[in-house]
Amino acid sequence: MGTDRPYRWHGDGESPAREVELRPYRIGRCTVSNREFAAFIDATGYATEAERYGWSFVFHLFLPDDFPDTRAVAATPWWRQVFGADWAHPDGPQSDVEDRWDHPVVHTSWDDAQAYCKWAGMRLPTEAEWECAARGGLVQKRFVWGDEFSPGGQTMCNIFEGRFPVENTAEDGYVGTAPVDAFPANGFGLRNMAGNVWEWCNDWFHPTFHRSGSRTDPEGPLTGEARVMRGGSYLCHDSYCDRYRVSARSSNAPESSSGNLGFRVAGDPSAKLHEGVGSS
Amino acid sequence: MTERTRDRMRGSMVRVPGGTFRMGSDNHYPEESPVHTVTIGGFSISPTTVTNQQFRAFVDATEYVTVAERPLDPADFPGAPAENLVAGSLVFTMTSGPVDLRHLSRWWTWTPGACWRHPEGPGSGIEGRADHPVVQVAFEDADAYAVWAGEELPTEAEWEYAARGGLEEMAFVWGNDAVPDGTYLANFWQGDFPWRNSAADGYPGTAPVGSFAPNGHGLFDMAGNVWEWTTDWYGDHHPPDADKPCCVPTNPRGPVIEASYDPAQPQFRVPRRVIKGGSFLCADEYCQRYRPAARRPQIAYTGMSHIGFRTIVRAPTSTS
Repeated sequence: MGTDRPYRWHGDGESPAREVELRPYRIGRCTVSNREFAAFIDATGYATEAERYGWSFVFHLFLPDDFPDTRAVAATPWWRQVFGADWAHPDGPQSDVEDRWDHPVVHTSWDDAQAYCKWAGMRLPTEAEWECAARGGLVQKRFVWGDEFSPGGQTMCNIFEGRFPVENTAEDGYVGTAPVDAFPANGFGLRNMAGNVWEWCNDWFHPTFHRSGSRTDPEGPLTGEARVMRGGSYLCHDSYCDRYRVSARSSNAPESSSGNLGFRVAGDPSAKLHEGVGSS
Repeated sequence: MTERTRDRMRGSMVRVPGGTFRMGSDNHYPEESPVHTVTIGGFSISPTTVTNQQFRAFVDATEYVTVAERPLDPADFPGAPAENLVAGSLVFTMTSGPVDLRHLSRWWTWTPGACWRHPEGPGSGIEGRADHPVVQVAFEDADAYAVWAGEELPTEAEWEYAARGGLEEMAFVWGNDAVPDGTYLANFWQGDFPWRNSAADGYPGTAPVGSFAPNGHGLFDMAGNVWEWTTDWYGDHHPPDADKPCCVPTNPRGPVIEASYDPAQPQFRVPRRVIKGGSFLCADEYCQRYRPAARRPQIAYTGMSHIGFRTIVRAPTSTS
């Protein structure tokens, strides 16, 4: 788990590379889709935090040209605060998910993800479980499929191509999200463990806690201010954030949401295993 | 969310990559054994069973008349009383108290006028149930819908492979606990069958499709709610496990039609298809069949108020 190689982001706590033992677990083949999340909403009447707050963060290129001015995040001005943006209106109130039922649900906070998992009898993966699953049986590779970005010229994931953040040439076929089962599976049969959408993990984020923390079924610090997210998204660009690497980490406040952040479920097996077996 | 949106959402297909799996169970009812290895090609499958709204669109477009809506031909039933030859179907009715669970006729009643539009008989309707599974459809009704939609009905092996959602040899489509941490993950019977239904899962009868969490393939209601038709003829056990990898069956289609005749009633050569998944009537002490390995024979031309179906498309659409 983790990496000591020079491409790591030093402040993120990707290092040290370390041996971690995990008990068996299950993890979703794909991130939760809009279809699946819609069923949860229909069945429970749950209102997401973005719906309760009334807004979420939308990437500026998805807004219509005539969209009124909104607040933006100072350090990342391409993120715009959009009222009426939520999981069912991912690009703002003028949008819907009619043509995206198979795409990952986004604008779901960590708390929303927890609520979905509870309904489904599942839980979020720990960060260690997530990374072990993402590596797909490979050891200390840069990406979930190996060290080479585009083996044999094949497109392996959905990230941002072109000039970030103003022009996405979509060489991978997608400007925004891609269907949850797009692109080749990794060694464990899991889809989109790199790119497409960031994925919530259960752990509180800390840049150095894991240096001294447990190496057996680590669950992260007991408390914190932000939860771990992993995997990178369709907005990852080499010039700005190559965090679609398998060891890359990031975090966000548990109540926050954005148009490039989703989740996949995990669970404890009661018998034999299918996916996400082993240790990294 | 509007009905229109729901319908579109649930009408689209979900890709299930091909693979090899262990079919059946040696730990439950005898007809589910032996566990054996099967290889399945990839397909796309409807994430939900066909709804009343979807079936209505088919009937409106084709003027199709279901089996339960057709009067019976006296020539097919010599000696049968005339009052039994009217159109109708079988309806589940709760009893007033405990009954002998060996006698299905205590809670299943032949009901003239029962059909998909009137699932519990003439006094009932499907208003307010547009997004519930269509029921009271015979196999040929389900097949006619599939042909109209340009789709097909699944084999038993395809259905079970899809239902397992990537989990290996689990009792349920979500794991090995029927009600993990007290969370109901399917619509089945809680209480005393067939007379006290506590509906602890929230639904005494059918639930709207997609009311419970999906399985690992993103498919809803692969356990409980309604039984689902498959194309296989029923045999009372599975074939033996292949003794060599070369002999693992690929896309098996079940036994011959003769195997499906009821050995308890050899005088009637009534063909029976496999139904899968269990229903809202599955009660643990009577029939714990809201499991992927569970299977029952169903007379091919008889619909019931707890049987529906979903469709698949075998043309490969996945890159895997």
